Amino acid sequence: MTTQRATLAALDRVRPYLLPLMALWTDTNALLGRPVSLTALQDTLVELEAKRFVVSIDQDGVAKWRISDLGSAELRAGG
Amino acid sequence: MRKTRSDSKLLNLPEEQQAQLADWLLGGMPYHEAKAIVAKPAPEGFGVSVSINAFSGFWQTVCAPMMLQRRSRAVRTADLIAEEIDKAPGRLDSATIDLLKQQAFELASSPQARPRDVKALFSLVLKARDQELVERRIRLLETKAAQADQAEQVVRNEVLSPEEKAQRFKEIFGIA
Repeated sequence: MTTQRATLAALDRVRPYLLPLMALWTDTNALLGRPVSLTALQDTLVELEAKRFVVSIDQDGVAKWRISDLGSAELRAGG
Repeated sequence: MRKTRSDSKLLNLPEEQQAQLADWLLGGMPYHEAKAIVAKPAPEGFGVSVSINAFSGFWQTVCAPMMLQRRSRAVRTADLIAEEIDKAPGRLDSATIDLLKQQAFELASSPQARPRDVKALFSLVLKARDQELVERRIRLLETKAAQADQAEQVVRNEVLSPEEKAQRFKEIFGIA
């Protein structure tokens, strides 16, 4: 599983709720065979956000993430 | 004879010790701290000496699936709370509802949280909200009753002219 797919899968599992960054990092790594660094995850999130597959919301100074409909569709399409 | 792999040592611990270790790690205990504790003899520790890397293996094999399960449970708990909130439309605005649902999810996700307690907590929040609405309704009724009393006095007043009475009514009911 790629980091992008694991990230989308982690967010899709909790849809429609938002996952705080650290929780997303843990969940993504739980789905990956080989854990990624926080920086690598943040890079992935930037890519996914550019594709509008994920949405970032700042709540009380904490970055939280949610999968978009487009991201869910991408995940189901096997992207 | 083959030497037992360090991470196998943790995976071969009795079930209750594995559960205890998973609890510690999921609760945020750093690996080096866990390493020191498990190395201690029973009953404080498990009397097992392993490398830090062994904890990564244990995390991936035992803790990660537990954590994903916990997250799924948190979603179910938050969904149940969301249903409760949605049963009474109009009590809260949509932004507050979304925030409550998110808070319920995050609270239910935390390692120490028990779904039953989280649901109980949010039921209290909703009940408190109901109570607030009841109190607001009572205050409104009291205000209306006081206005009715004042209006009645104006009606019964034989000194005031119709114009003066009309003016008093406007004052009582706050009509500009």
